[in-house]
Amino acid sequence: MAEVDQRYRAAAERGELSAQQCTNCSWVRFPPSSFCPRCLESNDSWIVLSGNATIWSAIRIHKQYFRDGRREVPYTVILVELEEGPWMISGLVAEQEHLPASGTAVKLAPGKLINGLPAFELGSAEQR
Amino acid sequence: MPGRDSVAIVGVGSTPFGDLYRDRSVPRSAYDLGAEAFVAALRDAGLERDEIDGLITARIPSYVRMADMLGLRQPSFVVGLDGSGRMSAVAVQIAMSAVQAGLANTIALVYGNNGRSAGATYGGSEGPSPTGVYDTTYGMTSPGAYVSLMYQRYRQMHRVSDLALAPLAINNRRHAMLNANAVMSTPLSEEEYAAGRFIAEPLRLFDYCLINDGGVALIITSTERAKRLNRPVVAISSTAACGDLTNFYTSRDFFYSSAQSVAHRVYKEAGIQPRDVDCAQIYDNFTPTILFSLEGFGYCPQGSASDWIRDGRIGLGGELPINTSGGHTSESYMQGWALHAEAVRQLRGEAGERQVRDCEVVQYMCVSPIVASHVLRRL
Repeated sequence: MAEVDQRYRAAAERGELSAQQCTNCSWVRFPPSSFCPRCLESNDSWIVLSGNATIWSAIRIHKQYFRDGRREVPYTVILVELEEGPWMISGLVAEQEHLPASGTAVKLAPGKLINGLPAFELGSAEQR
Repeated sequence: MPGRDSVAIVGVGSTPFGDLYRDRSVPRSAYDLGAEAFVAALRDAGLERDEIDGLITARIPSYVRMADMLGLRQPSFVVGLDGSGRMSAVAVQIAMSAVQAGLANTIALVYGNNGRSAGATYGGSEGPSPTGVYDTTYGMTSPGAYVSLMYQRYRQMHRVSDLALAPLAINNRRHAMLNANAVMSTPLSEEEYAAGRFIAEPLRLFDYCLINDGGVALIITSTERAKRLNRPVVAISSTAACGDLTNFYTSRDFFYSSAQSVAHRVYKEAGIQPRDVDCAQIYDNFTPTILFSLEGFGYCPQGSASDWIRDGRIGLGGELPINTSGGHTSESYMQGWALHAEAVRQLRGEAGERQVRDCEVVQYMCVSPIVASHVLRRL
């Protein structure tokens, strides 16, 4: 099984959300991969993303699927569309009373990691 | 595809489902379950084992072991497929193509699922998803949770009421109660549905497929050969598929555009419209997929399926009986395979108490990362 990319994890620990950008066509991609899915070139660089994203949908998981109890049930999981294009599954640093609506703006919560990976909070980030 | 109706399903076999579910004293193997279904399908077709010259297995760990157990040592055509539910329709397409291409004459499709015995949970490990190791870090896991993401967005977009999925779970249960082989046999009320615990909210317990042991086998050959077997002939009038392949089981348009593509081809090839379909078998690993299927395959406009399914429309005697054997939430979670068997039984008029009257055309639909559909017809 693949492991979390160390560059991605290290950036998260620095308070950054990062991703690969294709040197050839500028496409930003996640999860990390060796080839650009748009132009199939393999040269890329890691960039720091804005941390701005929109919730596509949010659910709350009530069943404890994980033997290591990695998160306390129930917990919210969000599918977000990042400003730069990629989609990713993530979490909210603070559990909300109601599931946030689709279309809600979220921003990276720097340094507030969930099990070592970046997490979000409600609201728009300041312009960079 | 050459020749509408040129390939037929001549044998269907299944293990008991309810009896196996109730008897938890022994662990079962996918091989034994597949073999039992294979023997039943052979008998059903009136064929001898040595008339089988092709083998397709699904969810069975090794096609080599399965073939050896069944005494199929030198088949002309062999494929081993993984255990994802989308593969049931794909297996039928492969068999159909192989028969049409002359690679084999008569192919056995054998599926064995020992999910209950093996303690399957469909969540809690990384799995093969490209983002699996990332997603599971946040506790995101299980196909149901990815479907729940779609449904949560869908119900906001279309202002769907809180218990909109209840009629689907209840419809499946009503049908299962007419099926002596089903796992679930007790009534399900809206109150009981609503009291079901959340698994991945907004989906509740009764929106989820069962986890049970069982096997299903199908036997596929040319319609020409099928006609010599002196049994009602159920032909595959058309089939089509469309990948909807992203990093997630979650499709951004609820599989709509993929399903529209499949619908266009499958109806055109069969020369029918949704109104010509007498009975639908819809892949329902989780109840929202029924809504997405009905919209994607043109039974009702986008966003309207939760109203469309009400008032008996999808029950026996209704305009479009759906999942007449109880579906994945009440009959058995055989990942589409038992739905295929039910389609054949309905078309032959062998469905007993749950028989759809004058059933001549059945459509199978599956929305998933491989969206697929067939139209089956009694000749």
